[in-house]
Amino acid sequence: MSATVEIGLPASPSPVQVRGLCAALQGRLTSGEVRLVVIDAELLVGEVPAVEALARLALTARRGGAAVRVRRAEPALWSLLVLVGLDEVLPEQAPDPSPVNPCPPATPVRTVSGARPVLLSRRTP
Amino acid sequence: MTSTALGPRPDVRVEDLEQHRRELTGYCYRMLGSGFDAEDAVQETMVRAWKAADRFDGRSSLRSWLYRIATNVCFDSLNSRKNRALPMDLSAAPSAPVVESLGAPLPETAWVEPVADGRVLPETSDPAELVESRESVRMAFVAALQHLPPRQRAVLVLREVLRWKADEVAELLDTSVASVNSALQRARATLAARTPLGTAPDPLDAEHVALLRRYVQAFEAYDIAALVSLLHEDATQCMPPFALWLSGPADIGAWHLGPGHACRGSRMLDVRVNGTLGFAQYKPSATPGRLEPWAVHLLEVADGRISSITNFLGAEHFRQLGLPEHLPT
Repeated sequence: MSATVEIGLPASPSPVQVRGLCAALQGRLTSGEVRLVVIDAELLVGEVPAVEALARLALTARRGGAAVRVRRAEPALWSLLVLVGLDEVLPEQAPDPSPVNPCPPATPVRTVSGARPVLLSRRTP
Repeated sequence: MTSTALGPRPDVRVEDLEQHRRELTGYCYRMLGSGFDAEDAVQETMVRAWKAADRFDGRSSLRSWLYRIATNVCFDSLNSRKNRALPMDLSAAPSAPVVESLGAPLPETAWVEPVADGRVLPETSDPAELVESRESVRMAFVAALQHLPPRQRAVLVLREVLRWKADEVAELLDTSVASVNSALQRARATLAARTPLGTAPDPLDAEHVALLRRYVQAFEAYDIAALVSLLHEDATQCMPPFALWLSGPADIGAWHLGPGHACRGSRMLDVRVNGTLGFAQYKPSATPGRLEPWAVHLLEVADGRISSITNFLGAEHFRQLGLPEHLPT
């Protein structure tokens, strides 16, 4: 049975946050069941930390045998990914007609003071 | 002298930030292709650093931290506007050497611009360091980035901006370390050979300087035969903000003898720009006894000849470079 993991990123993830997310993602991938990691980039600002965060998560997913898709990224972030040649490594997920409904409820894995909690959730299609 | 501490990091002072301003300006110029934009980017970098000083944890050096902020600022700037270019980037075909080719200036185009050495090169007595610094401002990183295939762009950014290890890049891009190293080499070579032929003349190379002097002498005497004899057979000339560009000594000579004849009687001043020696051209004006600022000439050399001439037209370049508003005839 294949499963999807969804990750929500804050606006400008710090290196510590990225390391935490990657470690958490790595833990979720050890079972070998997860085939797809969806990164929700709605809040992500199109700056260098975004490129670093997305690329690190993509590397972690690849090591765990999962594919990566990015959803809800702003145009500025897409243009940055194209500029730096990473748009093919981080393809866009086609808009889903049925909204993602995390199940079980999203669990904060790292909360940064003053920032929205970073979410790591799982759903089984 | 008093020092100003930054918020909760009393060991980080304004002077500590300011001492990196010049090298950061060089770095931002390399990313953005414009001295004006680079200075704005460095100012923004300083403001962001000031505001975020309490988040500087001291684990990296202050310099590395500032570079990271400057990189972010530059990418923000790149996202918000078109990349800077030279006329040859806009059209694959050269123009005919006639005035009709000139057309209207393209003010909406963001052109690569010259930048004064004094604003971007470090104050150093180490010749090796100076040569390396000059190289870093001889081309605009992003203008060249556009010429790379996506895979090479990704390798370049991951390795040289984000400082990833080669094996990490290989894994992400699903390729081998050897391929990554090869892509990086090719990307660097493209950056180094931003122009197809030549390199910026080395101000410390006697042969280069002699060639430049002969160019100035021929231009001031308006001896176009002599000027053409200095040109490489594949030489180009362009004049931003016009999209026109010329190819080959014959067309360049024809331009000077045709539409360019108003430059007869010009005088040139040496100017240190982009890590090399350029020339500020003042040409005869409607006011008797006065020469007006016209163009900053930046040359490149290949095989002992001049391989490209870029004339940055406009008095604003003279102001930016701190040159006189006019010269006596």
